[in-house]
Amino acid sequence: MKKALIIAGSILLVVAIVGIIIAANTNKDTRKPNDDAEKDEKGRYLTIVNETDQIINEVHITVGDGTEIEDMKQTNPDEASFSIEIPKQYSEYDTFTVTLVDRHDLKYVKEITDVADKGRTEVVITEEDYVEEKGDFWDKVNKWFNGD
Amino acid sequence: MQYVVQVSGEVLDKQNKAYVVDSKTAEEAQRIATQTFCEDFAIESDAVYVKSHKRTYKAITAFIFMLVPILLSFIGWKNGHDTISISPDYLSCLYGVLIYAAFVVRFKGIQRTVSSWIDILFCVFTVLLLSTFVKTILVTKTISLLGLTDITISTNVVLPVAIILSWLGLKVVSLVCMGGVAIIALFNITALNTAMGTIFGPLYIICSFIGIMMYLSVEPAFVETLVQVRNVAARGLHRLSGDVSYAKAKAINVKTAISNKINASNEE
Repeated sequence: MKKALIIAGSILLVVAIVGIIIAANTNKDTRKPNDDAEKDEKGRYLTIVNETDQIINEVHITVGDGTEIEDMKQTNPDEASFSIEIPKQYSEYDTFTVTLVDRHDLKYVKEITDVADKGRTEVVITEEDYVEEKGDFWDKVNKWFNGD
Repeated sequence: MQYVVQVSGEVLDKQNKAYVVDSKTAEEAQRIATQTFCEDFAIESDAVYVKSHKRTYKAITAFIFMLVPILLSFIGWKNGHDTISISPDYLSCLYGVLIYAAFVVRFKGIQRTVSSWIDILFCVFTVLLLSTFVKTILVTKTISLLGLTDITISTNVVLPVAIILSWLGLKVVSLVCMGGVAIIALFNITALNTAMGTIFGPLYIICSFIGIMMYLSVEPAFVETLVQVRNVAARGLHRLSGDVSYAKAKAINVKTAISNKINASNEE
């Protein structure tokens, strides 16, 4: 009986460890702390600074006529400021558009030109960058009721 | 003006019946109700006890109180990055209709449910309010199983399955399902409490409670069948506590069997 319990416990422990490792590796968000981005001199980063006073649910970064860079997409960032590395295949672009979507589905858009070839470029997004869209009235009603 | 006129009198047993009467004065409403009661049970009018109260104003007040939580339910309540929705949808309305239909079939009667604009509005408001309660309790939750895979548990499905299992006699499985539903509901209620805050949360609960109480006070079916309603509720609770006792006894049996086996293996 004791042996059976020990075997069952060991199996459960192994499965749990494997699960935690897989879960840690499947985290798709590619944002980095600003300190790490600052240390990486070879990398090219956009540092997003959220000054909208809203909780952000999505971050989208586009180039050209609206091509989204999938690797830079972020979900539910809790930090007020974080850095995202620009993939090497987009090195010829120096204009990027950053879109923040808050938890009420309201959009804040800012275009940043002359992004440095190396190091961090700051993108400060404030309430003034809000872009009104169709259907925002009800989202604003939700926002009011939620005290945001 | 509508009045709820409750009439009771000695027939063979004492009969108690509430009528909704359209009339200009309370006296006229009482007279009409007494007459109808005497015709229904073939008795002398002086042997009956009549009590009436205005229904229209109370009903309008109940509508206002019920409307507040219904409107609040359409707000997407935010808890961190998550949105908690308690607005009525197809499934929750279906549950609301089933619960209200049980009340209609058992106590109120179809005729009285659609007899006046007040009753029709009460039907709509009650179904919507019930569906927001159902939406609070019955949620879909995704649970990560040791980080390997995500399991989606829909309590919309689990609850009816638990009820069917209880009817079929699989009480322990049913109770485990019920327990799961209760735990998930508790998590959702806690999250909703944070999301709704200290103003809209209490407002939702208090307005719902007052609205329902005011509705029941002008609901003739409830006024005349209060004892029966109480019996049905007691039967439901008794059934649930029976399931709990059964599961408890089973758990004790399993525990005893395991300790017996462990003792036996230790002695060997």
